[in-house]
Amino acid sequence: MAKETAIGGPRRAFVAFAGGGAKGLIHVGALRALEDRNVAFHGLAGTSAGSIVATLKAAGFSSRELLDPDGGPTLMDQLSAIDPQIKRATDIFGKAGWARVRAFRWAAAYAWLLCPCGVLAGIALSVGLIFAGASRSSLAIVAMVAVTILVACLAILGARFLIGGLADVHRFRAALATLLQRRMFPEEPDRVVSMGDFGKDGRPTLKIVSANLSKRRLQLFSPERTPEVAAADAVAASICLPIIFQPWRINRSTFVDGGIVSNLPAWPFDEERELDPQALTIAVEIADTSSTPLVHRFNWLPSAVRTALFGSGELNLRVSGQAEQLVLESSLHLLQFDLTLEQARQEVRDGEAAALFRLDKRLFRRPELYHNACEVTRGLAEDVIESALGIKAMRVRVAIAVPDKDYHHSLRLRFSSGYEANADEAMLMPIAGSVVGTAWCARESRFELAPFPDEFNLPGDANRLRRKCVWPDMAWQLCIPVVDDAHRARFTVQISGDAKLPVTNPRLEYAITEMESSVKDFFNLIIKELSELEDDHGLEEYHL
Amino acid sequence: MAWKSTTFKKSAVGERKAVPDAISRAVDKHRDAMSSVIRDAKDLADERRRTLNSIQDPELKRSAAR
Repeated sequence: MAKETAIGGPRRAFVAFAGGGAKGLIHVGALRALEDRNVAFHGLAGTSAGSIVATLKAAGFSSRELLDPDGGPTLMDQLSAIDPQIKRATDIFGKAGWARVRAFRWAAAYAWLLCPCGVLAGIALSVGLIFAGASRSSLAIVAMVAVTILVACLAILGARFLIGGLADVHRFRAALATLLQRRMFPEEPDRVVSMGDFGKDGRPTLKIVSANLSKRRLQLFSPERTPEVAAADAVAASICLPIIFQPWRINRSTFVDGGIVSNLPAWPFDEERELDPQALTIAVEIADTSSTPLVHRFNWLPSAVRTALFGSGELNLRVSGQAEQLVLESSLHLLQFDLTLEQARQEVRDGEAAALFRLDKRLFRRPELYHNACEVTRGLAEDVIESALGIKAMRVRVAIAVPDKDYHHSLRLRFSSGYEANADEAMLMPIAGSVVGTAWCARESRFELAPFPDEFNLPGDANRLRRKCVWPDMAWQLCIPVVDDAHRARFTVQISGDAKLPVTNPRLEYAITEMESSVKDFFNLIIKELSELEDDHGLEEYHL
Repeated sequence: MAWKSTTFKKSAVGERKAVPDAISRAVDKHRDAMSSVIRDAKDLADERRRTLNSIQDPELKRSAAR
């Protein structure tokens, strides 16, 4: 659920970054977009590539320091200043390691061809050995045995790297540890930055997800659970993608990439979000859009890795309850770490634009626009009532009621003005049993005076708590459904006030008619202008 | 009359003509503010179109536009 927050000031937010290998570069773009929209980061979480971005942001780095699309030094430059052997992203794997990763990337792309070739080679070797034995030629036997031993050695070597990891993260871990120390504790060169250093002294809290193979469970590194663990170790444990990296060891436990257990860690903020319900929770997910091959018994492994990393986005979000999910897709390959600096800058630029496009729709500019529309409507309603009856309109509130995605029996008071002091701000209103729901269903405006008849007064035990939240002083309500050119109901404008209005009065009747007509025209023009922003089947989608 | 009510008793249509001016003026007072919001909506839509067109990565463009 998008929560309406005070317009103008920084938006408190808990932000989770998903894993995605080289695709994680778009996190820097998403981070730029969030910084641009004045988000105050109260907590950061990440898995795999997302853990790197989350940790660096929590340590005080801005997106500009990581990779500025407009030029300037990059994160790699800073790592290079610490370890001169790290000049580009591929150096993190080591020279031999990157060569193996590149070979694996190529082999994975042609697994459909290599697997049958491998089987054929095996058959050919077996047949060759049989024929060589049958020929009784020592030279042929020696040659075939030598070839077989060579192929077997290569296969064992390949299997050793596949099982044990093609590269290791020691170099990156060491450089990251120094980078964090220099940023967070520049006066203490021997200081090891630990998870316990986050979430205090003005720094946002930090949560990193990894898979603990020794305990066979998800491992959450956080200031509360693992204060002593070095932050760089937690990141190293989170990024060790099976096959690509050797598993990482901390104390006596062995860890691999957290993506295999929870690739989008928005859930670790459950308590913080309950304590600060007005704060936003934004989960930046990387979707895998690579073409889906025909998966069979010989090429399932790459697909299994991709499914483990990218297949549980919805589940991870459901675990975290209502959160804003920013789903971004990238043309980059999971292992495309060898792109040029200019390509990387362009990807960040694109990631920022795509993130802004989605964030503005769901959380920032469009909600602000609807908030302003509610404000204008509020002023109009007050003036119209005062001019009609010559009385003070007292307090008037305006809300826009919209169905949440996949909700069919209720409307959410999503955008509003004047609700700040009341418990029914952002409340979910049942369609059956409310004035707003009746107006929505009938596509017909409705004006009611309190006390409402039972059928509009949130009847039944299911609404017991909801009735307690309703504004007790509400004396009247006008609900205006707004329908688009295709005769689809988009939302209902709910106007309510506490001034006691007469049960019959021609001036009030005319005022309500004028108000209804003006408000309907006003919102119709807005949705016409914003038609490209709205979803086809309603005002709101669950995804950003 | 486009709206309905079960708690407010509507009067005869002819009586409404006696009081339109003050109410119309009250509505007119807010026309500028309404136009401003509609202009903002147009600007927002235009800017979003430009932003979308600036994205070069086809997958990112697709995910933004979804």
